[in-house]
Amino acid sequence: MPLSDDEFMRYSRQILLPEVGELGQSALKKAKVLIVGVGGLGQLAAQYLAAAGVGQLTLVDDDRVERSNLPRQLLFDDKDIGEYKSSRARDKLMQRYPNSEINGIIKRLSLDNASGIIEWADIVLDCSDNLVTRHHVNQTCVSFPTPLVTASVAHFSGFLFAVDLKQAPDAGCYACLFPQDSIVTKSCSTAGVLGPMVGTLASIQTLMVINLLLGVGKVCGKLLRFNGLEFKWREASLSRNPKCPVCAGVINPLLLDAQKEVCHAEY
Amino acid sequence: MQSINRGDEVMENDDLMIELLMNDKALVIPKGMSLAGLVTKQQIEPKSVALVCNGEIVPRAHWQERVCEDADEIEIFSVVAGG
Repeated sequence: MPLSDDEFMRYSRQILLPEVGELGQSALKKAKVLIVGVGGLGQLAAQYLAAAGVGQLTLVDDDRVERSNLPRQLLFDDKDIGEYKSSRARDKLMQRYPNSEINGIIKRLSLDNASGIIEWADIVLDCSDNLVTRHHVNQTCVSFPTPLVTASVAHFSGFLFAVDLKQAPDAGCYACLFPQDSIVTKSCSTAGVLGPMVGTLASIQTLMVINLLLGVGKVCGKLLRFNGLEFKWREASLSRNPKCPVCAGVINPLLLDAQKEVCHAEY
Repeated sequence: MQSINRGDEVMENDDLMIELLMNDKALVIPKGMSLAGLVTKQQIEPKSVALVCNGEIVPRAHWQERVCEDADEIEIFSVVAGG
């Protein structure tokens, strides 16, 4: 997809990076990205991605803007209180970033509607605020399989990682790390959260997504955790649960295919 | 059984105990304890946490069969779902 003169100027600091270049910027322009949840993480990720020149962005959320969102959801202001987040975010981003096509879907993503919403996306960001939605996003992404970058934050801790069954089948999926019967003890509404904590996680999440869209970097296979009191990042290798009810049925055939390819290559 | 932190008196049955690091703190536990046992012993609800052993996630399905080793570095952290 060729870039216009305006785009060359606008994205020149990105194009300057050897890892991006003209080809990479075109890849971003071609990309279709889905953001599930337009709260603290989602509204920032959406701004970064639209500003970076991602061609098509879809925002899904059925929540309305509340006063208590404003200290960390900087895309919104007092006039937006009571409005749907996904449609306000779409309107504001369309005005600021006319190069991007922005869609807003006023729905709560569930297993019933997830396939239709995720189907067209090249990559998905899970920015939702509850475990049920997170499992629905994961399960649907795994079924395609569509790469997923999931981030979450509450109190002074947050973590994020990518699920990409094609690139990193051994890292498994969200349900390998947090099985579906997991219990959440910390949420933003019960434990509280600070804007910069959300911003830190959303920034790294978006950076991972851009890396994946460009096909650069070492995004997959690791869980990153941040503690905003100790100022420590911790890294751990992800491991798949071979009996995971969500991804085992998808990964095992993928691994077999990979083995066949190795066999073919040997002969 | 009560856990005994490092710095306490030397234990009598040294060969029956191992010492590991849990969330950066030394912890002495009986030999042969599984990861599941370790989590329960800390009075943590197993379904509310994930576990890293020596830099690698151990899926919850494996906690029962995996036995803690001397000098293991274990991190246990809560499920966070906020966004």
